[in-house]
Amino acid sequence: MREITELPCPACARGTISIVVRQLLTGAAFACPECATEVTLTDDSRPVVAEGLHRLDRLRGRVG
Amino acid sequence: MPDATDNGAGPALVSMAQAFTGLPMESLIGGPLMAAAKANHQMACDQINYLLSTCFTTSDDGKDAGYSPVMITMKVSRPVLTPTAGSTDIQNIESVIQVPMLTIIPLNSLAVDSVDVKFHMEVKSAFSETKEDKSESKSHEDGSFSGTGWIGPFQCTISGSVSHDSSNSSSDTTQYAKSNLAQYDVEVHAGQIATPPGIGVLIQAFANAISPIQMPAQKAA
Repeated sequence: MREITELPCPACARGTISIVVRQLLTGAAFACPECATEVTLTDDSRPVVAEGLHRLDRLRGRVG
Repeated sequence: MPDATDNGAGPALVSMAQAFTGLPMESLIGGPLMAAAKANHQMACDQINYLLSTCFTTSDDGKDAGYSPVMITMKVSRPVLTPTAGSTDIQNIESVIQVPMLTIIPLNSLAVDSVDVKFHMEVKSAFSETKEDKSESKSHEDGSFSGTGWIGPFQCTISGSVSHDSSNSSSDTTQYAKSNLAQYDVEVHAGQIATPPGIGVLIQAFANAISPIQMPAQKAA
């Protein structure tokens, strides 16, 4: 399961930023290993991502 | 299970062909496979519903239902080195980008990836007959006699005894045994499968969309 998501760096496009999605909800920032650019989730989007993860957990619980 | 019948030389052995006739092989083999296929179908439907309901919004204008990706906002903080007189300043330039949630949300790609059906059936029949006739005549009789007489000038004495034993015994042992043993094992394993290529392409396309693009330099007026 993709618990760690990899995003191409929006700044340098050379590095890949590994993101633990659940930690985004706590305000954690993840950095690009190439250019040190950090990405974090804005406060507005946290409920959206939290709801998505909540639905994912329910789906996992249903299928075992 | 057909019963063995006496064919004159003892009960017939169980016919293997008859023993295996009538087994619901289609159900035994196809049942677990169909169940696994249904489970995979159900899990795939759940996954699709999850993706569509979580990562997309629908826009139904009465004619065509379209799906638009749910966008989330991320803050990007990039350190920038600015040379100044005699030193270099480091400044963090913050910007905001919008990313489709599909690109960061974990995907649940659980599916039944192996089904092992093992059916083992053992039919045993055995017939053995042991006859033992033992005839032994044994009778016991005792008798004795004795006599004394004169034969001429000689005196003779005669004595004797008779003994006889008799007995009869016989045994007949017949054994017929049959047994059935059946084992039916179904092993199902479900695990995470690779992200479907189509989803991967979609995610990659969304991910590439957030990469910076190089704009051509503007010509000086």
